[in-house]
Amino acid sequence: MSFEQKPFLILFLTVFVWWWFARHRERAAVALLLSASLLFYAWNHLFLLPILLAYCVINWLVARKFERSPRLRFWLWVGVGFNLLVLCYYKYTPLLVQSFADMLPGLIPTLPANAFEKWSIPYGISFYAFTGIAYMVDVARKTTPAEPSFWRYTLSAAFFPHLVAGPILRPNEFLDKVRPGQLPTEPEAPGEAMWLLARGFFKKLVVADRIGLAIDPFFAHINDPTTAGVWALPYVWLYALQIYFDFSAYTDMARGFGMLFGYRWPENFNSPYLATSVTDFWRRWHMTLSRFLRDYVYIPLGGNRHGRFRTQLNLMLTMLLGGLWHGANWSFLVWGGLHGSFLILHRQWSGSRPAEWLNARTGWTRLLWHVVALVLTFHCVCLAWCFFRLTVFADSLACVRKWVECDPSKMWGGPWCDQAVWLALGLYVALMCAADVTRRFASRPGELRGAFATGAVWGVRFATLLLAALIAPSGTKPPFIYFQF
Amino acid sequence: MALGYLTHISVAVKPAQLARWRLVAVKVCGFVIAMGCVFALGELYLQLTPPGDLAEHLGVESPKAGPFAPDDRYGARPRSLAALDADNPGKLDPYRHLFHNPKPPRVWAFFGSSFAQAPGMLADTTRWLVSNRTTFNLGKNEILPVRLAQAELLLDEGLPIERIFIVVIPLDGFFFALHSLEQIRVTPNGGISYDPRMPAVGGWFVRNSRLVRQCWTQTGWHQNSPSYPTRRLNDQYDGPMLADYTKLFGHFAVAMRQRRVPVTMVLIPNYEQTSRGAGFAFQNAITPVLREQGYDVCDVREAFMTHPDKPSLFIPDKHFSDTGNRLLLATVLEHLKATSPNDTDLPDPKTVRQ
Repeated sequence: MSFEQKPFLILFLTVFVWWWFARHRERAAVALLLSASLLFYAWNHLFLLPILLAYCVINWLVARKFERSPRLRFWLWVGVGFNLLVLCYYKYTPLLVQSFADMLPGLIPTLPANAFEKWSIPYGISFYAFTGIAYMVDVARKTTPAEPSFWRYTLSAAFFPHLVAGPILRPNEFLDKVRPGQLPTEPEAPGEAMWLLARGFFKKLVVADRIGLAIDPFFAHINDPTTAGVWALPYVWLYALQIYFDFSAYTDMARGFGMLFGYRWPENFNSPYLATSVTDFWRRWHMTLSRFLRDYVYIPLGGNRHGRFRTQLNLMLTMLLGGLWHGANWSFLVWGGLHGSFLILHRQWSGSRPAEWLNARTGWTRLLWHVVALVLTFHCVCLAWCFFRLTVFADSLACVRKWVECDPSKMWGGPWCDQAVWLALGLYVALMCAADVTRRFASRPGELRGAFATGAVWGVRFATLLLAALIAPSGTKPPFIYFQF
Repeated sequence: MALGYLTHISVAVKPAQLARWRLVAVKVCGFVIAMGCVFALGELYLQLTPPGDLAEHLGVESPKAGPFAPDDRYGARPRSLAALDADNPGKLDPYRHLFHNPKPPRVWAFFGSSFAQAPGMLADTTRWLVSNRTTFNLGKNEILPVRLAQAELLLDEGLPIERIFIVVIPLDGFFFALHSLEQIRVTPNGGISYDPRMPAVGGWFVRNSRLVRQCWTQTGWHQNSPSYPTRRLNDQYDGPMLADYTKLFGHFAVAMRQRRVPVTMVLIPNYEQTSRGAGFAFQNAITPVLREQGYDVCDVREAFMTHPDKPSLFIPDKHFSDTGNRLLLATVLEHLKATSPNDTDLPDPKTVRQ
């Protein structure tokens, strides 16, 4: 089930109304939200439910073991190992079997092309596996107590707004709020929640899907004669925007739905394409994953405490793991490797004299350097996106080659010039400006002015939500890109 | 002065209540004005660049482009042979020698959905197995009225067609659930667009605001037969849909009689009818109409329903397999041998079926 589908909207409205009446009775509220979450996950995929429940049972039991057993390290390995093994089994079996069959044709019989056609990865497994690992490690580190109630823990792990594509939450960001006596009884900032939902729906239905319609045929035929001579760079720019709008839309909606039930979750994006270095990009892009990788991979590996070489090695290993987490394909490893290389290069550059000199500039020189750094960073990220979008290595390389090899007569035409795409982006910017202006206006003193602006703020929110539903492309809606991970 | 006096009196009577109502009124004003501004932005967006799904319903205002001209009988027809040629690049090349040929071969022309046009389907199967006829098809799916208009244009341009085959599946009838013949519009750039059915109240807004039109077209009530699901084609086909179907094929029957070209309507069953026991409402409704209009109707359902291995007749996307296409062609050949004295030289249906 996905947020923009009718069954979800019916489920959400039903659950919200019931929750409203049951919110002061904790057990009833937990039972209601948990049932809704399991129904959300099992919708059309009943066979996946046992996997989610197995994760919840094992993680809860292992965390409880930490409190009683002296063999803490052993149980931690058991818990983390289970999470990673099941995750790896589902995500990487086809890749590994196929790769071994290719490398050792004599030992393993040749597989038919459609050998893994029906292999399906339980959706959201990467997210709930990481949330589970974070919980067990935090309990083992004694930064959070183990949750005694299995039902409350399962609710925290499987709560439907964040279940499928995050944000990846730490125990103190959500589990603590479902403990006895802590369960929220009122929506958290309903106005902000409404705006997050309106913005999320608009980003997904109007901007991301519209961009997808324009660029998907190009990427589907990247190695065909039909795209010969076509300049790939604008399509990669648009893909960079599409994945940002698609994923941040999901996060906005997840946060919005969470807030309506009283939970405030962290931001996942902070204008990532305004980053002036790849290091800065990772502080702004999928922030809850970056934070997870830093706290549960990079720092345990040694972080920057063991000299320059180990630091660089740890950076590279972390990013390679981050790449592999995204998907079972070597191209994701290349994507992670590229980001790791950019991070290492940036680390080297940051300590150099030219960097110090440039950073010490003021005025126009500094502004110019800022713009150059921004453009350079964006294109480094775009280069990596080529390997993320196209999972066949030859296609990714063809895409990169087409950044420079192109027919000048075909540069300024084609689907990337589609006015509907650029005007949809312009409309999004105009709506963000309208929301910002009304919000600022509402915060100024003056009783009548304040009342007018408050009405206007709500007007912008409602109208944005309606507009998203109205001008979304008709027909089958493509799923969120991050659902595949 | 008088108003000020009244306000003064009211304030004196219930100041707190008045102040509260004034705040609520101002808040509502802010809400309405902001909504209006956002919708105005949306309207501007749709005016500047209507997306494809809205352009479909903008009638003559649509920016869609194509090779068509308006036509009173079919709604739209190809503007000219050159326009048809440009819209089907390379597709006419194998047949150019046939046009105005003083000694033409015997040409069978196929028009219809993907069941006739797609690679390996009926037209291709006929081309491979009926060697003493030249098979003509454009290999492209078009809406029902355009297929008929194409046939008429090709005849008028000198393609010597001995027999026309119109291959019809129940889904073809769904076109008239969406649009009536009167709703078809050709844009100034030659594209096909449609006028939506207007609501009983508020038609002015639908005509003049693209945002409202987009909203209206998303409800489904703009269709010729609102909320008519495709699955109902097997159970019920009547009313405005059947009326349009009758009108369209009536025009085509007259045109073909004038040109003395026989037309065989091949009515083929879909997967649900063959394998899932669905009804034949569509075929049952159009057969008497078509016969009355003088068409040669070849309903192949019997051959498919009695086939011992029905799954072998279909490929996974529910089109016919090679076995299915051979069975279809064999049934059509049997029908022609039985009804048409000019077609005695056709291959033996039994060999075609194997």
